[in-house]
Amino acid sequence: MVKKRGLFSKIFEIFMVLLTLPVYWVVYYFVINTSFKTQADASRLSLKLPEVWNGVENYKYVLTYNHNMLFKTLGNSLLLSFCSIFILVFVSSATALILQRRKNRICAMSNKLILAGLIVPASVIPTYWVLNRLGLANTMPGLILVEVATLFPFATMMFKDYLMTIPREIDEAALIDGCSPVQLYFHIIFPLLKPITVAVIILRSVVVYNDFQNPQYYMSGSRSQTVQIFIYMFKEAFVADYGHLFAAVILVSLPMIILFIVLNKKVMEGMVIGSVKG
Amino acid sequence: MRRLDKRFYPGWLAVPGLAIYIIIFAIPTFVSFYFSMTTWNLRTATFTGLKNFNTFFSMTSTRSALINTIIYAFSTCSLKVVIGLLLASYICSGIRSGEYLKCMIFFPTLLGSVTVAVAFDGILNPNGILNQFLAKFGIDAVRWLTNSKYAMFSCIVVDVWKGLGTATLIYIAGLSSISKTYYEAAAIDGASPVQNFFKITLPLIVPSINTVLTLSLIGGLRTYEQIYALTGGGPGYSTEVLGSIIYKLFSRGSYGLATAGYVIMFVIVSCIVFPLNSFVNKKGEDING
Repeated sequence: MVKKRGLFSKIFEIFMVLLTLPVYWVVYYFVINTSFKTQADASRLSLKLPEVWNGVENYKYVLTYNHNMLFKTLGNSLLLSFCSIFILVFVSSATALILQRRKNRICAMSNKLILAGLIVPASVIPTYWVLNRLGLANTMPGLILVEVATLFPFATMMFKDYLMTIPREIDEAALIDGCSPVQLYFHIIFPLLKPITVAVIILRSVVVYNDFQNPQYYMSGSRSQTVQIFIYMFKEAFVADYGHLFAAVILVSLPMIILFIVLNKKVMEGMVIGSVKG
Repeated sequence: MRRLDKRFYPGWLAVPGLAIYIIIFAIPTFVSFYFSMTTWNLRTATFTGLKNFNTFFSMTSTRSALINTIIYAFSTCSLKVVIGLLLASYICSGIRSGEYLKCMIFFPTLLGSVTVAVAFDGILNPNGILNQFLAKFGIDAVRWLTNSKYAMFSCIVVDVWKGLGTATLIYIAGLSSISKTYYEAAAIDGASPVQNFFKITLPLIVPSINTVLTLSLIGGLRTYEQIYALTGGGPGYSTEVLGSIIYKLFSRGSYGLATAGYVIMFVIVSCIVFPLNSFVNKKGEDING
């Protein structure tokens, strides 16, 4: 009886592993393989190896397309991710500290407001209007602020949950030893938050890097764009030119692929901590 | 104590974060209710009452967009909730390839919506590899993205392909926090794996189900970029969703009307997600006593 089930579950496991071939590997193989083909060869959309290996030309073309646009947009995307995550980590952890440690009416109200932000969709056009008023519409600083504001509720809630596990006695001991509140935050609390900070950084960088909607709205009138907008424009310009298109797809995804290979465990852990809401 | 609180945790530490959030997120959300009732060019707004909503509901494109949004959000959400849970339970059942399957399922989550759409454009193309494969079984080429019967279905499948990883990982985290002693006790009582799943796992995994449900439902109701990149809303209006309608109205300068569309989205999200959330939570409390 036990043996029989063992055999069945083994067969099922092999089946599940084999299932990843058509569901995932064929997709990746198809994209990578086609990115090395000439245009005519690629348009046949087959899984056969390239007739002529045209990879160097395809990738060089994408990299230099429209005055090295890929490099510029990649730079913008990395700058956007770096700045918004940097600001996000500091402002949301500081807010979380105050909201978690202090109990009064203002804090309770702020809490509710932030919780609502987890569910309510962002109102794009009035936001654009506010940015316009501030003179930040279609600028990188404006977009950075939008990303920070969009990610703020999630990050604050994550920090708040984690702060609950840090006993108040630590704060009190530090303050009795003559630590100022600012020192308390920077030297005591912030280092203790490291695990959750790492999770926020990894998880939210992926979100900002892959964000399409915010750059599409708030940078629509700007000449500097992010990679997600680049790949969209490229797609519009090269309909059915799959060799070039897929080369661009791979180049744009490369930072995330590297992140996944290098920080595999951390990325998946961060994803989980970041998704389990408080 | 309260006085000490003030000194220990000065309120201004919370100000930068709250200021950004309120100015860039909260205030625009509140004023959108006013602007949805105006004809608006970003500089001057003339109050027109409910005219925008009237116009919005009388357009064919927006009516189908509303229905499509609901279909899309509910299908992707339920598929992720169910398939994710099954996969996570399977991965956590102590199989050898668990780590490999986890990586495989998770990786697409890291890719951008547009990149995924571009890749699937080559797969779902009328001459694409899916149809080439089906042709081997004598099935005629299906126009996955350009036939209004299949376009929405294809968009849903692509979204589940990309988004399943998050759901599965959340479940895995939930499952690994369930104490092993329940299963040991059940094993002594001679429970079958199916009984284990329904009597132990399912009741204890309710918080994770709630998280996956809420996240994927909100995501499904809001997003448009993947569908937009796959089909452009077509053929006809068959894959038009609220998000893409709002963007199209925005880009042609109908700001008031687009904001009315946003308010409708706001109402739909709030009316579905808030009650659902508390309903599932209550169910979880009932089961767990």
